[in-house]
Parts: sequence; C-alpha cells; structure tokens
Amino acid sequence: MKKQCVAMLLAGGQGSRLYALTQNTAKPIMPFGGKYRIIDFPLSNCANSGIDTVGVLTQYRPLKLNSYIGNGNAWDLDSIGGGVFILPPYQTSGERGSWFRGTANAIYQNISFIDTYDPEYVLILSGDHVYKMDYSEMIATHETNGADCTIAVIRVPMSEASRFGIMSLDDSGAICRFAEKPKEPDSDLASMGIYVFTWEKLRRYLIEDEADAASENDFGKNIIPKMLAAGEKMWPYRFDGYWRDVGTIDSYWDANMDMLLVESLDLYDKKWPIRSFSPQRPPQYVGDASRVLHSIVTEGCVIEGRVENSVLSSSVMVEEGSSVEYSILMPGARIRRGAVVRYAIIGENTVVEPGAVVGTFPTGEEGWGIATCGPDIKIGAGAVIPAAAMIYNDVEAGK
Amino acid sequence: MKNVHGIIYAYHDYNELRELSEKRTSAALPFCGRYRLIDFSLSAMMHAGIYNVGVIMQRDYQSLIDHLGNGRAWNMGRRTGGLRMLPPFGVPGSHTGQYEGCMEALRAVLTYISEIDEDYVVLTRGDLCASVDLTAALERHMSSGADVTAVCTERELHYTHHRFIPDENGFASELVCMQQRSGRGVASLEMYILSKKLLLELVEWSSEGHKLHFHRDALLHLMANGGRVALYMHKGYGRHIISVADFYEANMDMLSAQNLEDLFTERPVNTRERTDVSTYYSDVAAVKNSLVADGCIIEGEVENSVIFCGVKINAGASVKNCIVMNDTVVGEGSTLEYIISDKNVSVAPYSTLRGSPNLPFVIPKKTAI
Repeated sequence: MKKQCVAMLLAGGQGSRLYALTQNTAKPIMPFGGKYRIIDFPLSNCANSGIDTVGVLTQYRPLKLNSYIGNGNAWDLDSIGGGVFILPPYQTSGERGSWFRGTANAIYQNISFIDTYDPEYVLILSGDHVYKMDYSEMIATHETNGADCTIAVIRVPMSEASRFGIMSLDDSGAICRFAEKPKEPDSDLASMGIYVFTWEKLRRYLIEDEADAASENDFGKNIIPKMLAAGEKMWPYRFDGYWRDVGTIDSYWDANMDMLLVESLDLYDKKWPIRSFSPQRPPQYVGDASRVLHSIVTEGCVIEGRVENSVLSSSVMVEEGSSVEYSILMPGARIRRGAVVRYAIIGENTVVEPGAVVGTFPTGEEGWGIATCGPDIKIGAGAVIPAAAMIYNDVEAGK
Repeated sequence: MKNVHGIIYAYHDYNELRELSEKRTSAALPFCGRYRLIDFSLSAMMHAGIYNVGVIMQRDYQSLIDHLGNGRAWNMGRRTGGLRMLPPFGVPGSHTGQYEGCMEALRAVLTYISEIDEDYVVLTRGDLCASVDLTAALERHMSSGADVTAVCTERELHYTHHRFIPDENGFASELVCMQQRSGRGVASLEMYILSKKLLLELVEWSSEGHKLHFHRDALLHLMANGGRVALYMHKGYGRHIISVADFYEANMDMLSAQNLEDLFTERPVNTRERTDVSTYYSDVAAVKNSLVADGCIIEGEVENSVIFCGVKINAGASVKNCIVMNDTVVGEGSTLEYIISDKNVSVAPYSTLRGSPNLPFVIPKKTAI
C-alpha cells in the first residue's frame, strides 16, 4: 500500500550520558514531566500530524520499550493499514546479521520495511527530544521546495552553537554548508535531528554509504555531508517552538523543570494532545501535614511531606516530615520519613530511607551538580548522598 | 474463569440522586476523581477472568455507552464475546417507563440470556462500590454446592437493602427484604452467582403473574422451595450509591487511606483512559487532606475535597468539603463549601456557594454561575 510518508524513530541509543538512569532501560522511555515518557512526544506528534505508520528502531535494552509501545494504541497509532512497528536488528540467511552500527545503518537495515509502503517521503525522528511539532507542515515545506532532504533547524545562542550540528544557508535559503560541532560556527541554526527525505534519494545514498567502508553510517556525519557535496537540494525547516534534547543529566533535569511553566510547552492543549500509556491509579492524595508548591504531581502519588519546585511521576510516596525540593521523582519512588531530597533525580521504585539526605542546594562551587540515584535501589536510613553523585547500587545506612 | 458470564444492571435511576442522575444512571456516576461506579463491577469481573459481560441499560445511557466503549479498558474488547450493551430490544413495552425490578430487566433481555454459552452467571448492580474478590466468591460457589451464592458485607448500610440471616454453615436461613439499617444478619451487596440454567428457570417462573423483583420474588420463591443460598462475606469497603447523600459520603470516605486501599490496591480498578497532563500546584496552592486527579491546575486552597480530572481552581479560591467533577473552573476568590459540582461547571470569580454537611448542594452539569 502506498503511503505519502513513513516515520522512522531512532530509539536504539543507550543514553550513556544519563548513566545510572539508563543502566537497565532505553533512554526513550525515561519518565518525563510527571505523566510522560520521552518517546510519547515523537509518537504523539506523529499521530497528531496524520502519520499513521511508524517504525521504531530498538537495540539497547528494548524490553521495557517494547512493552511500553505495545501495539501503539495509547497514541491512537493502532490503525488499519498503519501502526507502530518495533524494528530490532535481525539476521538474514547466509549472513550473521549485525547490530545497528549507526543511525543511517539502522535505516539501511530496514529498507525492505520502508519499501513495503513505497512512500514518497521518509521522516527520521529521534527518541530523545521533547517538543511539539506538526510534521505535516515540514513535509509540505519539503514538497513546496522540491527538496531531496529537509532538516528541521532551531536558532540557538551563538555562544552555544559549537555544541550542535550547524547549518549555513545560501542566498536562496537552501542549506549550503553543514558543520558538526564547529569550533567557529558561522550560523546559529542548529539541526534538531529531524529529517524528511525523498525516499528514492535516501534509499540510493543509504546503499552507497553502506558500501563505503570508511563511513560511520551516520546521518549527521556521513549522509548529510555526502548529499550536500553532491549538490542535492537541501532545505531547512525553521522551528521556533520549545525543543530540548534531554540526553544528559543536566539537560534532562532542566527540561523537566521547564514543565513547571506552561509557557515552555503547553501540555494542556487539547488540539495537540501528548498521549502516554500509564497504569491506572487512583487520584493523588495530598495529606494534612503536607505542602505542595510549584510542582507537578501525578496519579497514584501520596504526599504527606513537603514538595516544592519538583516533578513527581505516578505512584510516588513522600512521607510525613520529609522534604523534596527541585527534584525529579520517577514512578514508584518513595521518600520515607524525615528524608531530604534536593536538586536530585530519584529513579523508578527507588526508596530513600528515613533521614537520608540526597543532594544539596547549589553551592556555587566547581563540581556541584544534580545528585542522581538509579532505579530499584535503596538509599539507607541516614545515608548522605553528596551533590553530583551518581548512585548505581544500594547505599548502606548512615554512609 | 472460563465458564462464567457477567450481567450488570445499569438501568437504575433513583430520585434521591436528584440532579446527579438527570442525564445518567447510577452505574455511570463519577466516583473518586476519575472513575465511574460501573468500573468496580467490570474490574472485579476482569480480575476473575470473566470477559463475556452484558450490561443491561434502559434510559439515559449515553454517558454509560461513551464510558464503556468496546470494553477494552477491562479486557472485554474481544473477537468473540466480550462486552455487550443491552438496551431494550425486542420485548414489547420494555422501551417505556423504568424497569421496576431486576426480573423485569432480565425478562427484557431473555433472548440474550438464553444464548449465553457459559454454565454460570454473575449478576451484579452497576452502582456497587466495592472491589469484590470474585475469584474467591466463585470458588466458594463451586465448592459449596449452593444454588445461589450471595456476596454480603458486615458493614452497616444506611439505605434500603436486603439482609440474609446466616446459619452455622454460612448458608442463608432467611432473607429479610427492604431493611433500612443493620439488624439481624448480614447485608447483601446484591452480587449473585448462579447457574445459567437456574437463572433461566427463575426468569421463566417470574414471567407468570408478572413478578418483578429478584429478592422479594425470585429468591424468596427459590428459598421456600428448598433452594440453598451460600453467603460469601466481602471484607473491606462495600456499598451502593443511590442518593446524593450516599454519593457525597462515599466520595469523602475515599479520603481515608484504609478505604482507598480496600478499593484500589489489591485488585486495581480500571476505567476509561483520559489523556491528561499531571496536575500542577502553583506557589500559592494550599491543599490538605484531598484527592486530586490529573490534569488539574490548583492555585487556590483545597481542603477535605475530591477533585476530578481537568479542574482549575484559581488563586484565592477556597474549596472545602466539596466534590468537584471534571473540567470545572472555580473562579478567583470564590468560596465553595459542601458543594457537589457536576462536570464542566464554571463558577465566576468572587462567588460564594455553601451547602451543608447534611445536604450538600449539587450544581448540575455545565452550569455557569
């Protein structure tokens, strides 16, 4: 069946810069903003943009990711003729098969999946960005420009431009140069890692790139530069809404805190709903001795202590006499009596035992940072976890 | 359980529910921030592996149908069987008036009942508010050899109900109908297990002489003729909701951790999904002893209240001892006490609305104040 556009969502990365948080699960299903997982954003954007066929490329610890996505029903993507398809690396006859070696290789290995739909265009998305975008507008721009490739770009402060893939435009507005993390950027237009390709073109470049033994088989490093060098029509699609890459502890914490302000990303917008899949729990209970200020809290939480400037996922417990400030508490986290959590991220189902202290207020000193406790661990009673710590395992009481 | 079919009565419409039942039956009453009462019966069946379920409805069933969908939320969206909605069909006169009793309702769907494949049937009321362990109740039924098993509670019920007097073996020695409060015996939660064969016999028996009621007619007849009724005692929270006072009290009961645990912990209750963001508490919010569902924005003061999905309570507003249903907006500086606000109500800034503990004031759906 012919489709106008098929989306391919790159969700196989480890998210190694999130350390303990992604030791057991893939980054795209990191909890975000209380109710959500990161992958809810691209999946909801697809559904809202009228894209009904989404291939999800998985590789690193895919178990929870696969069961989270299920048949795509939570995002209304379980449609007849479309759907969400989990695409792991696979074996072929006579070969041993291989892991996805790079973003472009992941798509290369799934050429036959895309060919099934014989699409005009392929939309490449990544599973670690938080934003709301109408992809149908981007595809329309691609068509109007008669482009071979359209890259979503966002303006970044010049001082930070050297952290991004930077696009330079010619007089007609087309992309004439692309520099990955340039030391001396000559533009402030950063690639958002969202691409629309004319499938026929991309297909050819993927096959060529695969044959090039020197290539890292990566979109940013190989495919885009090769297409530019060959003079293909490359256009930017300017985006000026809220967009964050949440690949590091700091950016993950920052973006979560942004959710405390509706101005950053309006999640109440009924015309562009971000959907998620969550086990159904009763409403949150806020007790007599509690105090909840400038925070977001999700169903199933029981709050008896103090919560300020924080983001709480579902079924979190904050017991009496405890205090949570400027922190992110993932589903099922439990903060016991008298524990103090400041500028910290507490992983799923992790228990902070009575009187333990995790993180500190900013000290202004070099080396201060967000304290992070991984999932399914216990921080013993009275233990003190310093700022910037990265905790993978249980911590004994009073240490 | 594979060999069990469920039937839920969802046609009841009680005068005492006043404005709350104007456009819905008691089974469709919103409860505890995000649920509707029928979720309890459906979830209890789901946990017992009963996926073939019929819901008998008669009037005002639009909100119920919207809520049930294809039954997927309770694992009842099946290729074969699954959830069946049973509005009046095929039986002369069943479209008009209100079914006066369960036997009349069952007669109205007789064709459906006669086509049930399973050997056993669970009958229950959609306005039951309890998380019943139906697996255990069914095991008791199968092992006791009883003709009927009745789910009962030792809790005190303050509305008209039926009571069984147990004998020393846990069977009913007597059925006392239409009691107002506790007395002898145990209260029936009106969830019954019986064979399909017996159910059909009772329905056929009741059609002669126009007998309408399950307890007063069918059960008493059965017991008088040697039928054995086993009693399965349900532990924990359990009651029906058939008046505004019940509705208010039961919702407020959920502010107790024990009641909340009774209903939602061991066997989670499923409901229709709503896409909501988490709830935001502003830096001037003051919330105490309250349940708050997702999708709310709380800027004001909230105490001893149950707040449903998507409610906005603006700064300076004070909401105490209230039940505020979906998407209601409470304007800046308003004061609400002992109010039950139905869905989509908007309260203008600086309004004062007060009911009383004995008579909470109900604001009907979509009212603008």
